[in-house]
Amino acid sequence: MTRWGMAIDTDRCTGCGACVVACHAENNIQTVGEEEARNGRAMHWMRIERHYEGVFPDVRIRFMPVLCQHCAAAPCEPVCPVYATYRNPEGLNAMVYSRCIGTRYCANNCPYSVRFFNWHGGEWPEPLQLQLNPDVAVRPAGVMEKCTFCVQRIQDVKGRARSEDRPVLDGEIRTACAQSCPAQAIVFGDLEDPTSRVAQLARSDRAERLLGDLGTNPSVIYLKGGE
Amino acid sequence: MRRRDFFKASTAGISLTVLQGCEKKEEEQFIVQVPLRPGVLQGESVWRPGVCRQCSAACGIQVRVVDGNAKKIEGLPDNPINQGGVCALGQSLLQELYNPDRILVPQRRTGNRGEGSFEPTTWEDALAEVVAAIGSAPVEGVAFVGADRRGLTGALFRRLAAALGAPPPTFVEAPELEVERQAALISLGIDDIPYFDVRRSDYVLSIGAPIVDRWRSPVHYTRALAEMRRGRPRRRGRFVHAEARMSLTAANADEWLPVRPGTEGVLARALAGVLLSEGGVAVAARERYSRLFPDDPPSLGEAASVCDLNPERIRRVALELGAAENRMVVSGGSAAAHSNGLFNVVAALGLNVLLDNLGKSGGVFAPARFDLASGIEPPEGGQTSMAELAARLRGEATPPVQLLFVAETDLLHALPASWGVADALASLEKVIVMSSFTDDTALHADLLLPLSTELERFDAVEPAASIGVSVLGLSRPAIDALGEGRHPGDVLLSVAAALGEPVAGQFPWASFEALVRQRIQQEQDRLPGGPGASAAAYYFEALARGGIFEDGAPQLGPPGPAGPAPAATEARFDGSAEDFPFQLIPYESLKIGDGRGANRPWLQELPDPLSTVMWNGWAELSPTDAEQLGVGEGDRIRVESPAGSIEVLALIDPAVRPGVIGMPMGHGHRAYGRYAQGRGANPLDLVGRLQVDGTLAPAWAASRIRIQRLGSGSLARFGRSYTERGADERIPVAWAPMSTGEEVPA
Repeated sequence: MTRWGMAIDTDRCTGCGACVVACHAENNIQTVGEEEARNGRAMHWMRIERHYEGVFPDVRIRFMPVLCQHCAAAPCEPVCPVYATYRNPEGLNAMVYSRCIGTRYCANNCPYSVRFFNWHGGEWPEPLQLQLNPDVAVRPAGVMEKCTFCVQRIQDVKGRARSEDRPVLDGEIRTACAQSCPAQAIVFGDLEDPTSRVAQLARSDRAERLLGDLGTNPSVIYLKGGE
Repeated sequence: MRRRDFFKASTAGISLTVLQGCEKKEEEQFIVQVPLRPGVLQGESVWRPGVCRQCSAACGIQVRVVDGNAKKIEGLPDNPINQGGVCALGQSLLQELYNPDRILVPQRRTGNRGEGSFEPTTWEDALAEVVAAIGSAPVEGVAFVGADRRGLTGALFRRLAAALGAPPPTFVEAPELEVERQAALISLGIDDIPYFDVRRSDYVLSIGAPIVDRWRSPVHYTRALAEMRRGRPRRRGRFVHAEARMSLTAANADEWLPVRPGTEGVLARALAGVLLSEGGVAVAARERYSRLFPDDPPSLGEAASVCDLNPERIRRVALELGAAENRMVVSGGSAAAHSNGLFNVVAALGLNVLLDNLGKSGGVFAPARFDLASGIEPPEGGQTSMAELAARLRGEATPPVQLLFVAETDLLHALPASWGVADALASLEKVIVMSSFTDDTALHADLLLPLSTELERFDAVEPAASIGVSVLGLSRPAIDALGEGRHPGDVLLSVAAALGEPVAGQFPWASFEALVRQRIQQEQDRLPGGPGASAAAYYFEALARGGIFEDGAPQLGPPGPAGPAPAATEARFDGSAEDFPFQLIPYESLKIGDGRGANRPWLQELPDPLSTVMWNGWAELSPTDAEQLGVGEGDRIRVESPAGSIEVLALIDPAVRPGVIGMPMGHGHRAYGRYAQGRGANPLDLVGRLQVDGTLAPAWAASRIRIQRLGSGSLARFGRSYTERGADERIPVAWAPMSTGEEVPA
């Protein structure tokens, strides 16, 4: 069995935002403009959370890249009235856009706020539409969207491995965020394979999971930062 | 095609495939397709290597091309600068390429200058106009302005200026670079930006240098910092950052020293004092350091009160620095942008002499370059500084400018408004601008020549700030050009050829590519992998790889102090403390750089990592200052300095030092397309003409300002504001240990 997972080293992450733009570029995420961004309708499947502790001069800032945690017990799944979101056999919390009727119950139930409702559909003034990734559907207005762990990249590598009659190698699949990261803070791989880098990192003393006490059993592991 | 025809055709196609499938091998079953364009197979996805020109770091990139269109930018793993990483600005190159406001053909002004009305023209006519303009202007009245100071394009500018007898060209770059270079010359003996080996260091102190913001090589130094901390098992380096403002670099430091602005040099001298008295500095290092600073450093107590830091803290940092195995001090940024900036950076870099780390692992290295440009530099060389150019444009210095040729830089947005360049443009004979967009400078152009992006052209770039090993990034067209944009090098070559003798004879190259190829061939024997290889194979392999890269660790140590440090002076500011109670610190926006990223929706909507603001600029106020001024989050405020005034939205930020106001540069374009125009304000409009002592660089962190509330407004933020979340917010998550196999208890 495979369980795709991700380890994010917050001691490497500087919060630069390269992953956020990589995610936009890879996944055809539309931008919404200033007015709608102000209304909280910007869709960042990947975001950098910035946390302040204290006030000047004793202030400390920490960054945490947050994306869909692909929970093994995902609170978003059971509330969908049309089964548009489900856990796939490889541990992805998948989303079927064509099933979604936009009740937004899932976003309501997600403790990580990583599901985004698409209010407007896509609009790319010519010739900006040429940048769109042909491997990823452009979502219409009225559906929920979220991080897919770059499922198109997973499929691509699996297809290539199959055609070469070999297993997928550890580190061969890289999500767009992991690829772009200047600090190489993000590692993607199979959590069920004890020899994979991500599984090794998951066993680190620094490994923790976001809101772990909720029992959602996320597939994203954070490595604590600091000294 | 009608529906019926479609079914007919597809049935035929399917039966054909099925039939063929019976007799052919699997890989031959693909339907033969008609190419969309010559050489482009439908659905084919390829990665093509290249080099990024979005900032001067020159990272290696690769672009995914599907159906002949560019789809995604990723880092080139083989390039030692970025090692596969890529920043937000670099990725947004696609939105420069496919920007709906991009200029695709040459344009000629139709209305009044500055109105921005143009009509399309042809390259032939445009080049004839350039040649005629150069021919009719007196040679000393021609001013060339470019961006690529150390590179081949810069060398071509210098060569053309010299051939014409015109004054040397000006290069627009981050203004503090001039100070950083001069400081490196005095303190380390190299007339260039040194390389700081953060990766192998155990203790890095940065005095003002925002290494992981948009500094000299953001991707490279971000990776280096990550590797310093987590790249070596059980050996985590420590990073301490001294800067007045909470920058991204300060946020990522293990310890932040919020030094009072303009006193960075005093802090460095205080650290030197501790090291000299109790740090166990070797006699030789002590002696070398005394060439730089023959006088005794200030007392710790005195220095600490000047810097507004706890003396014990300064002492502890100095001792930690002295005790670490590999240790280093890096400096620049806003520390270099005060009137005493040169002293600040010399004092800070001078600590490396005391720490005896020149050319040592985890220390400071001399830059390494292939320097292909040197072979075509004219003997007289040189450049006109930005300040001199501005004075010539204003008519305050001779020779006055009559013809201005600007390429690849938005001069008006990059220079302080108080320099009066915008007004000066109105009285020039001719303004020729090479730009992809009608930016603030292009708005004033008589002739607007379109640029190609790095994805559409041949290019060769060496990074402006070396990474300790030599790197030449190469790219060839990855996609068909979208319009008629050209490389500025090609335009200069065409102009030179059209000018006829004696100029043309000095430019024997048919194209920029021919020039690069010739230079690589000439230097091949000293390039890595070059000796013995055939010239053609070597060149094409380099193109296929995305450049020529030197392997290994940096080697060259700087020679050491070249002269005495400038005298320690107190920082002077524009404006009195009574009338203008706050200090302004502008900084290069992490998202949009110096402003070139402002026309890209991805970057506008990317929340700034610290403020989480999208689609606008802001001014950062501390909660106490905001309360005193009666300013609330998102309020519209007027910020006024002796040099100018702008309107901007207020952001209340608990990490801001009271009395200091930070403002991101890059916003406040007067033109530059639908996504950038009129969005936010440019803090350089507030910067006066004060210069860094001993240089001609503008002291852009030396302005005092006052603030007046105008009314309520609102910022688009992705995170919650300080007022919403309160001061005592802790990380709002509960952590639980991870165990992979475990399923959730029922």
